[in-house]
Amino acid sequence: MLASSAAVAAGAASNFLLQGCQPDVEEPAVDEPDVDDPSEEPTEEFELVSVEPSITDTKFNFCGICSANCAMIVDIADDKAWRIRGNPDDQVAEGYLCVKGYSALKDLYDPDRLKQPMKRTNPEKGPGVDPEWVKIDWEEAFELTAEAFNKAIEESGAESIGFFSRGHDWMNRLRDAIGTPNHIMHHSTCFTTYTAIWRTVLGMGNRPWMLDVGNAKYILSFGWDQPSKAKNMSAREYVKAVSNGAKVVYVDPRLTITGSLGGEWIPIKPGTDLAFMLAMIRIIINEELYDKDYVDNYTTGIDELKEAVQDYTPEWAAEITEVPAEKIEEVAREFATTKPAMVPNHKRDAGGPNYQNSWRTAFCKVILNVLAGTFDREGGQIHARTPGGMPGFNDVFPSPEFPELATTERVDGWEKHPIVAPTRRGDFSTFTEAQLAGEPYQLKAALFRKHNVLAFPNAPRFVEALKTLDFMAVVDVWPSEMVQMADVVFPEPYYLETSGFGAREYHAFHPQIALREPVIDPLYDTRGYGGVITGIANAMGLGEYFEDVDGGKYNDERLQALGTSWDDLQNSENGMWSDEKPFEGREEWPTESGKIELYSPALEENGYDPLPYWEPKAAEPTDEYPLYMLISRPPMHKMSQTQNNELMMQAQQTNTVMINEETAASLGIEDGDEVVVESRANQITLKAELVKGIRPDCVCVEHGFGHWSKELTIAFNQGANEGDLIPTLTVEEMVNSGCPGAGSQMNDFCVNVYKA
Amino acid sequence: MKYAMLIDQTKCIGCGACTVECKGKYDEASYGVLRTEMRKFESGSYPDVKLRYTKHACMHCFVAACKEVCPVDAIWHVEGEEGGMVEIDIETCIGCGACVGACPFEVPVIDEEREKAEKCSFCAFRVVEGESTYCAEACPVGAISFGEREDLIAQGESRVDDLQAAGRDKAHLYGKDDTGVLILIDDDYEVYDLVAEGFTLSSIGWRALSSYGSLAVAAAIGGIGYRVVKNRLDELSKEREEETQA
Repeated sequence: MLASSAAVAAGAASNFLLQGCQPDVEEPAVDEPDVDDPSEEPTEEFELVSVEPSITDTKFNFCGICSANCAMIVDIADDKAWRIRGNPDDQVAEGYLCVKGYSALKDLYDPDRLKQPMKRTNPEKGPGVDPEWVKIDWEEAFELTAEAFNKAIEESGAESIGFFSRGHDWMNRLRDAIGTPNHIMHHSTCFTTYTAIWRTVLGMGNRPWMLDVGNAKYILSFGWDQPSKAKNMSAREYVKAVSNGAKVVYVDPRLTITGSLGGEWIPIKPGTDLAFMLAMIRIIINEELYDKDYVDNYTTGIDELKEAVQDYTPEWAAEITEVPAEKIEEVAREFATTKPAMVPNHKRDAGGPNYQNSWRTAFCKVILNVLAGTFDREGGQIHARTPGGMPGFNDVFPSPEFPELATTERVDGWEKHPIVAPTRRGDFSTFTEAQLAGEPYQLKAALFRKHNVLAFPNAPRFVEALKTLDFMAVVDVWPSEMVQMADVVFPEPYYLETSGFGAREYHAFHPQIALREPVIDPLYDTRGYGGVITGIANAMGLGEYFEDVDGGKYNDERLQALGTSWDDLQNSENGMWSDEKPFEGREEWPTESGKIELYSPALEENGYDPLPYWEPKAAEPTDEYPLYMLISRPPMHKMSQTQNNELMMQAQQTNTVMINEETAASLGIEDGDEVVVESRANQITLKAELVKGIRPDCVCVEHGFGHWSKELTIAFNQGANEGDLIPTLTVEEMVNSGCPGAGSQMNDFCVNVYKA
Repeated sequence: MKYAMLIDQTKCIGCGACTVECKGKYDEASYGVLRTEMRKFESGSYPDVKLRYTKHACMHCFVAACKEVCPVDAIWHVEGEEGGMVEIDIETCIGCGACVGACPFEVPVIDEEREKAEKCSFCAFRVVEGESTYCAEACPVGAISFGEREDLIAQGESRVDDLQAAGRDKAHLYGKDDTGVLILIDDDYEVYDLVAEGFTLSSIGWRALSSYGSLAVAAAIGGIGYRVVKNRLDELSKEREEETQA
């Protein structure tokens, strides 16, 4: 280090000396500085220089980077947004943002943003191919899209149209006006295992990750790692709990800050959390350590559960999990006797769609929280208190009758999973294989928004699937990889240029709403998603479905139902509307019995086990692929959305292959070596990062990197996309996996690692 | 007024909110030149591993090696040596890199594009107006506090007591007698790449001297500023000698 510092010093000095010869550079201040009298403080000579402009205005908005939607206050200086702060009156933000939220102005002012509609003139598509964009006006963009959609409908039926987008009132209406069943979202890679369990066991499936971590005294995490991902409210509440002396037991194959700050790390074998939990449940029930009042009053099925877990001894679990039986017993007893205790959920943890058995793990997490007596209680897992009674889009703007669905059979087979089918969330994993095989049929034209190519399992194979489409339109803020595949591109504004409101969901102890107002005038010729959808609908001849639709009216009618109004919210002093009623724990659940059903008839009726029996994960190491694969997400980035942000990239510019230092030594790999990671699906090349805190039989790669769009000038070619390694599944494989949530099994494969 | 910053390492999640908030505000330096960044430390051996992050930035030393070696006296203590704020006057800085080599905490970096040294300024222009630092205002988990030095020392020591009572014997408030930035650490200072406390120019000066050696050579080759560098080098050697004798 010393040598390199000296070299820097010498190099810099030479630079300066060269500069000194140029006439326009002032002579440096060598004229008799006070070197001769070091006791004299030069303080008086210098003035402190402010970097801060005068603030001329402040605006309210809420973050659009992740779904926590932290409310923001934006300071404006002469029509330019200067600084973003968290809104102190928001339950989610509590006056702070995360690293991503603080970086958002670099997204807003990113010169790489899409600036006008475009069409592709190069019919060839794929990585490294220049789309040869031609700028077009909005009318032409709508006409081209409408023409392609109508042609596909005429030739192949309405089901040949696909929507790859989060649910959106305008989009949903166009989907239904067309009559296609194919609306595909990312949730099977995100949390549908939880959805399936919560919909059945609790009778309510939405947002299964609201937590009162701050008041917990014992936090037992099975891969819940939100602090190390800098999820704003989770990180803050976790640090609060730990600072107040809460114990954290972090059960995960890899050590992160969640395990390190709070106490104890248990390096469990990947995908075996279910066995650990089943053994815990057996101990807690057999030793009658559970909260009897809670279980008696609010649950059914404890006797059936007790019987079902009798074979799951700590010794049995120890063999599977590689955690000593005594440790499992100790954790079970501590968890059951420390109040309040919780097993937190988020999304892609052990109960998320990581493994074939994850839905059973999600089931056990509900059970453990119930046995602790903290479900929807202080210091426990909570149901979000969201504003109720707001009218829906179809209530405010009654629609002309929709046509019948062309077919209920979806291209991705989502209708074959009865518990989650009504959510219409769709399946990233199975779409690719179905589209390539043309079974049951192929999509011909599709609209994409915000779901990027890199988010799909085995992204290169997904690209091949996209090439089979006759036409794709993409709505985006940036020239993403999905845009590179597009025939027509619709640029949309960045969220800081838009208006609306958002209910607090991620940390909502009482109903609360945040205002979103444009912080500056739109920088480019962009239109909001609703406007794009309406334009396409009009051009397709479906304008009647949008005749009276008006965003301002929609906002107003929804807010009026809460006793406020769009005007009131826009004029509010803090950009918030709140109904501050005290938090009271739920006494009833919307299941058949009105209770939490530990033995679930709803699962049984749909052909799934009504109790969480043991089932192993799908993939185990082989000679060919000897290491478990783990995927994580860094604090500085949101999935594959933020790698063109200059600030976030300076905080973290690439990803690595994290490998245990002893495993690396045995493979002849040194820190910084280029290594190949190979799965049965694909391979990637990255630098190795030797770490101590990971099981020797695992490697871990962070998600979000490996962008190949050259128009993303900062993100381009940084790191690699670990998603390329995730095997896709056919519809049949997904159905046979028996997961009621049709989770994509993101970590359920093994890899080989060797020096490049 | 004496100010301080308290970094509570036992709360830091390593997210980098401070890094980006600082960089976003002091945006003039070129890409990748950061005034504060996250450092990751792993200690122990599998499976008994500890993972820690701390905010790595200028410690604002009372005895500031960077200031001592600066050949053009561009570095100064804003409110006196124990006032906790060491500032580079950017107009005066010639980007020579002497401070880079001298700093015992490996903090300053040269922004090659602007040919200036870059480091945390303690947001001194805000602090003297009674405001906090950008990083402390941004930290979402309360790991960075800013305020009057005495208050923060009391706050830090109380937290050390709590941690020790909870069995974390190595909890310690680093920097009480040396630096404007206090760090609440949970292990030996070496784990965090810090230097032994109670430091003097003598104990940290070896770095400064080595750095000076190469700088003097570079300056001699260029033939400009040699006198300045040489004078300060001689002076530093003399001080070091005196300190050693004392």
